[in-house]
Amino acid sequence: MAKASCLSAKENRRFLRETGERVDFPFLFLVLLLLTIGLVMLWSASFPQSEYDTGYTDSGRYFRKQALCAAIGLAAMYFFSRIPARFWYRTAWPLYGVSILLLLSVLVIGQEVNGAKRWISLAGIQFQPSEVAKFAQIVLFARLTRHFGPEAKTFRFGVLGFGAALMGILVPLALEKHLSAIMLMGMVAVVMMFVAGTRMKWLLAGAGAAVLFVIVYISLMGYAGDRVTAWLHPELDPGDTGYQILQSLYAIGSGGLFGLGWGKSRQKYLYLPFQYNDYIFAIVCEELGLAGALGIGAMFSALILRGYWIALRSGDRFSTVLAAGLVTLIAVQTILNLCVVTNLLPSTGIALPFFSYGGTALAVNLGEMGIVLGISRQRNREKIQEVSL
Amino acid sequence: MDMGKKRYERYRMDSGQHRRILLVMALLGILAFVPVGLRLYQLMVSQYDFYARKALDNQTRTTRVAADRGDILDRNMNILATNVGVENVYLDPHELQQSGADIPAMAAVLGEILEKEPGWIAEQASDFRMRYKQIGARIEEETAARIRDYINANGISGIHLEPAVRRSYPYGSLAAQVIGFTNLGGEGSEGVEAAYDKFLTGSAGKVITTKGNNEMDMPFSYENYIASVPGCDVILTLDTTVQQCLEKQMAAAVSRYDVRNGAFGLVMNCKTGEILAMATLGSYDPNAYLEIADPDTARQLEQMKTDTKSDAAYTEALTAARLKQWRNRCISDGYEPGSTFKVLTMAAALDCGAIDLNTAFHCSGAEQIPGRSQRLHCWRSTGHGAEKTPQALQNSCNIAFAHIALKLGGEKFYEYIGKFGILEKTGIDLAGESKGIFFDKALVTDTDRWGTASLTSGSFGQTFKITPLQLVRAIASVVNGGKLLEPYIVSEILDARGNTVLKQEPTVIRQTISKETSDTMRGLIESVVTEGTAKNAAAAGFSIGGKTGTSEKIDVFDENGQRVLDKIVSFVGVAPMEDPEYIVLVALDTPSRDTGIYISGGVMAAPTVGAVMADILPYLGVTRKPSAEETPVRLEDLTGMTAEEAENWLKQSGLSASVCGTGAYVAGQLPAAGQSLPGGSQVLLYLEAPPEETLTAVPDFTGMNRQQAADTAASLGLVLVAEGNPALLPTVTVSGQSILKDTPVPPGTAVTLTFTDTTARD
Repeated sequence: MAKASCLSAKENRRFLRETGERVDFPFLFLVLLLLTIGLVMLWSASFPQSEYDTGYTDSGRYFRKQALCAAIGLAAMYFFSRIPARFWYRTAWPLYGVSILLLLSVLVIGQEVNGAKRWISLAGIQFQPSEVAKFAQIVLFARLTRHFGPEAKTFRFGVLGFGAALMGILVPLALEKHLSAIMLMGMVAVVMMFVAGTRMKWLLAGAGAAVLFVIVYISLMGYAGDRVTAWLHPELDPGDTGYQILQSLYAIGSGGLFGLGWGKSRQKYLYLPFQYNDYIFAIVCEELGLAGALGIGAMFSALILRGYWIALRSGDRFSTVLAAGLVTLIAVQTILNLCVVTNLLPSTGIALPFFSYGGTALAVNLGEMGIVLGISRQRNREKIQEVSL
Repeated sequence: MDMGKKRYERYRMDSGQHRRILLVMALLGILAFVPVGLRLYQLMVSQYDFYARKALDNQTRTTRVAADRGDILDRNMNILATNVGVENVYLDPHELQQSGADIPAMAAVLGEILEKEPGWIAEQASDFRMRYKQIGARIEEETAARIRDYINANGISGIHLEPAVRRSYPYGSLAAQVIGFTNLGGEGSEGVEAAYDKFLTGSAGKVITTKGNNEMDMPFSYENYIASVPGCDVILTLDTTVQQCLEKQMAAAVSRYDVRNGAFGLVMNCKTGEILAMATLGSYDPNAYLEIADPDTARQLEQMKTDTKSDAAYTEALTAARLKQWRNRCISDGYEPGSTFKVLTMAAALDCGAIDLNTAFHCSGAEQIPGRSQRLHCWRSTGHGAEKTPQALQNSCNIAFAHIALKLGGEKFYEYIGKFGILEKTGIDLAGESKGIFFDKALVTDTDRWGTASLTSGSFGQTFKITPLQLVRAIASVVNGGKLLEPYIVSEILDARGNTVLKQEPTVIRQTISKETSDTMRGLIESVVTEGTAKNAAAAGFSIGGKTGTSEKIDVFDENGQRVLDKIVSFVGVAPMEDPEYIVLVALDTPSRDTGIYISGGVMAAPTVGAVMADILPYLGVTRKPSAEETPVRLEDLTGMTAEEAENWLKQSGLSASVCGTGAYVAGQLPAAGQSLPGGSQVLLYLEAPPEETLTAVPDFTGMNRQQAADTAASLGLVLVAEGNPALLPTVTVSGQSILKDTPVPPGTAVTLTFTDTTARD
């Protein structure tokens, strides 16, 4: 095009460097960096629990499982980075349908772990269908956004359309009593609807309704008061309801500026429960200090910013919304987890991407990152076309 | 689904969507991280100190490292209380599980060795996530050895032994109430162990380590070690030998006079206030202080345990029996001193001039004293007749003393009682001292209102109670020139490096009577032994003074409310009278009427004190004034004399003869002429031609006591010269001899033997 012919020599070189169907290197680098740090921290955080759970015979049980899932996840990431976005566009509905079926099947053939029935086994592999459902919802929302176009501003499409799609996932999750996933998917949906163009008043009304629902739901479960007290004043019941959060704060606070050093956490010696999954960030703070914690926070921030940057530059509405949705999923999980661990929010049970123990989540997250990387290649491909014209 | 079939077309974002994504990007990529960052700063920087301390409190375990408790030693550095190594047994359940030990079998064996329930041990062993479960505390070496054998024989890993300490009292019940004991927690209870606990304890060290929530060790843990400071050694004024003599003689008296309710006695240096011995019989073994030592009481309790319906009554009786055997009666309990108290009354009356040595009294056996409703009887119903001051004391005449008290007057009497320290605690450095019960001042001073009953009874030591130590200290002041001392039992405290932490010096509290009165009183007190009621207290070679006492217990009633006529007989002796150094009290509580022996201090307590004096004075280095028969004799040549002549000569010289053989003339003698012999020695006379001078091999005297050595020497014809410890105790034995054993020597050769008290260890 005309624009290309006007490129300066410097701009031309940059274009050439950026083309060649290459994935976005900074994003890939950030993903691998976080994954590496996450694995290393998981190793440190999980070994006392692993020793204890295995009767002092094996300190690496959780690390090995996680590393294996990371390997699977990396393979998935590579594979998905080579799939064009239109594949997801086409499989959006089937994926959505399969997800709902899987979620429903959990209610029937699900396996109980830690008192929650959220896992199923397929071909000997245990995984959480809700992780797949989250992805399916984002893909469907992206497709709907493209499909609705400007009509997303109407109540009919912008609220009822997206709402119906959301309910298809949320209702089975509610039946599983998987509150944290409902909350997470609700928030991701709100962000995606906002991007699609749903009017703010509806979104605010919906968010308000959701909050109201949560309040009613929690009070019906009968422990609302306890939860709020445990959140605002954990020191009142340090042995029971306040225990988890106090132990987390002890771990974080005792890290200081530079931490106790990698591997030297004391709170991980069975003081802090869930120290290798939901509360792993507290151990990160204890071992690496404020410097390490802020560094890792900055990496997440950079990953999220770069992810949205990729979304914005994809040049295709479906791809943009898909990438933005996937990045939003990572962002919301990260932020919620950090807020819970530091007691800015009450405990919810949301894992920290790339760090927390949980094979399905890690593999799915990496696969999703692969899709974002694939979208970044697409933009580069477009550049090639632009240059070659 | 129809859309999927179409060719995928690209739609660009509209500008609104673009703008909204930028908004989301800013919100989730940057803004949302800000509160988290601030919160982390708050927790990890602003509140770091708070959380770091909280975390450390949370994670650390403080292990006390007990300090070695100091020893208690007597004045000759004999160890009275020390620590001995014992062991604790613990299981490492995790290790047991790893090694695949047969837990029920192990629990059965260990249960049998440790006398514990096997079920309980199995339970401890099955808590396999734990690394430390103690199953036996402070077990003795032999028990530990059995466990070690079991471990080795079966190759079990997971049973461990660790060192621990137990308090040990090598002399057993000797001076038990004075030394005290430590309780299960290792704290001093009773006696010196309690009174000097803070010196003996030292300060415990601490190991502060971080431990996992399941007690597992952390590889990178915080550890802080605060070293323990060992306790100080406490050196007593007590002398083990003196204590042994006192307890031995008291025990002998208890059995001879069938004393029903124990005995108490003490030996004090009357110039310094140092306690050399202090005993309460009906004692216990501090190594097993919970066991009832008295066999009768123990049997009764055992009976009670099997018979009784109520456990509470048994427990109460057991507790009472324990408290009784732990009680140091010399300082904790008052008793009626009886006539021994007359020494104080007389000293007071002489000191203020109320009487002099020539004041005359008349005792008719009974008399109506003005101001006293009851007729006063003297112990001798026929009366003592006319007597002067010295006889009043020698006869222990109550009627004379009532008159002395009346002459003295209540005000003066009470004033002197105060000076003698009867109204206050002596201040001895032992726990649990009481000060007795004496009359209110008005009762003796306000005779218009209260009559003279208290004053007159008080003058001869009745109707009030004081502690034995109060009495002994007051009488010590009467004989030592009038100085009232503060008695003490601990002379010095040394820290673990041997530095003196505390040294006690004699403390004079006040002057009770003038030196002149004291000199007079010494003479009077000595005359009680030489001429009065206490002749039994005499000990050969020593000048002893003292005063007897026999008192009825006025506050003990039988089940019918009748006064029990139980008596305490006592004697306070002082020696040597020229310059008194030691004061000895012995009191026997409730001698039985069944022995047929007249119950009195003069008959029972005085000889006991005399025997104690005879034992301890030579040991303490008081010079014996040798009597005639003990003067060394230079042996003449007796050969050529007739047997009769020789025997006569020997007899006159205070020696004895042993005749060998038959014949009219002395042909030889052993020892040879010219040797100096101690009085009373035996000389061997050979009436026939003396045997060829054969050489005798010197035997090994080591370990023999005085009697054995003398017998052995005599049988071999050797002359014995004794050196070293002069005490006539079975524990004093030969530790060295001047001629090596098996050396051939001619008969009559003098062998010098060195005697040492074998119980004195350093």
